[in-house]
Amino acid sequence: MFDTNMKILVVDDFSTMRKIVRNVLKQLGYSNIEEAEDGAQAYSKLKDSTFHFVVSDWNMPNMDGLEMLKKIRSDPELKDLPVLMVTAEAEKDKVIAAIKAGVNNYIVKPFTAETLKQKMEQIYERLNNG
Amino acid sequence: MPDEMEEIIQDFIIETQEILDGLDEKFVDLEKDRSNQDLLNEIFRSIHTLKGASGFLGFNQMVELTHTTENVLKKLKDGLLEVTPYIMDVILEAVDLMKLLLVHIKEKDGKEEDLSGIVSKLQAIENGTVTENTEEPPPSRAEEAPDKVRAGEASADSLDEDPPDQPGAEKVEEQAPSVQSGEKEKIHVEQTLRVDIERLDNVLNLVGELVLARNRLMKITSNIEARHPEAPETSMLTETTAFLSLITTDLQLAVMKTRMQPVKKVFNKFPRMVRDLARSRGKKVELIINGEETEVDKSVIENIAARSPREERPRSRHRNTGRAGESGKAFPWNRKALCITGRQQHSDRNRRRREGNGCGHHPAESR
Repeated sequence: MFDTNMKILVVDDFSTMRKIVRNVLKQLGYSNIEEAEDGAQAYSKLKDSTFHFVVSDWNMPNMDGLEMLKKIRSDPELKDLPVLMVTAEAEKDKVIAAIKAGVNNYIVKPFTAETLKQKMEQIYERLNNG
Repeated sequence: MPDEMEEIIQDFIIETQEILDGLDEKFVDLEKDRSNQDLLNEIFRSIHTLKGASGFLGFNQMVELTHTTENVLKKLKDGLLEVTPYIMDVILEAVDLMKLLLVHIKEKDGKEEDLSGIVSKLQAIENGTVTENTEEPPPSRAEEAPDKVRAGEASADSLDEDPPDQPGAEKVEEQAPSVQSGEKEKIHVEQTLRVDIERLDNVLNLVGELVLARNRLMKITSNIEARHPEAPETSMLTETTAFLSLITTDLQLAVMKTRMQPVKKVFNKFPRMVRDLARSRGKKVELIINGEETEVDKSVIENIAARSPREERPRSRHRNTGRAGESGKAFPWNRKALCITGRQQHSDRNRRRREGNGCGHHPAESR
């Protein structure tokens, strides 16, 4: 599984949601967390320093999660960064679009720490066996 | 980690309140500019966000209500439904219920609301089973209106030539750039910091102490000046004291300014109130708000806001909009406008500036 010291970026336009996600991550032992309010801010943070994992909301102003994901995948420095997308309910079209764009996994909210752990484990295994 | 949970819930309450307050205004704007896709997306996102966070926190009634509202909004957003006054009525009713649910969350009273009525109305809209009849505005009560409509000071006469079947069809010049200003606000919001009011009050108290000390020092200085007018130290002391006095005054003003908020916070309630009133009376009312950027102390804002806008009769004057408006352009339509004016604030010393905006000032307003 991922190192609990890895640096995670939580992206959401609603600050309460960022806190909730931060809290769930904390339950799993991750505490090296930074936040961004939208895709644009997240992208510039990712460019500024090294992150190991991104948990991003979908629907955000300025730059939404999908657009940000595309930008990450087309950036030579960031293209291998694991991205987990958070969606409100399983919306097929969106999930397909995200998979095409190279998302590592998606999670439907509300989720528990246990579900998040499973999703992160799946990402980890795919990265290390693939 | 119950403390962290409690903190998250408190944040949720504050943030949700902000979202819901902003929604009223956005919906009223949307009714005027029904094809505004950006605005629709913004509204959809707000409700969607609210649903997501409510799900995490176990506020199931909020989830149910936001979910059904979101479904209607999605159809509007995707162009599968058109914004009609009836749909607006129902969505606004849902938003009002969300506000009520938030009160229950805030007060932890464990109360639930009966959502079945609103949910079935929303579902009927979503499934397209709303009959044409219900999309008509409610019956006009023009005959009995003149007295009662004054509750909002909107005059009801001379509207007969304007059939109420397409309220909000005209665009209002003053409110047209609402999206752009929304973007500006967003940039502004990122530069703000939420500070506990107690901390600000504490700074204000300390500055008060400082002012007292400054006053004493000034008195001592003038005594020394009288006794030792020739001593070189005296002039240095006078100079330093004067400088300190200046800085203290500036500091006092700066601290007081941190507590100032635009009166817009209170005025924001009026568009929705006027919209509901106009709709229930089958009237067209154009609300023009001036000077909402005027800043007053937080406590004053709270005092005004604490009174229900329905009881609060805005100090305003209606006028026939056939005359020139404040932008200098004549309003072409034959209807009444409701005009609310905040005093223009010009400097720290509250100098008044009157603008010849044609809106008509009530003598009481300038007090």
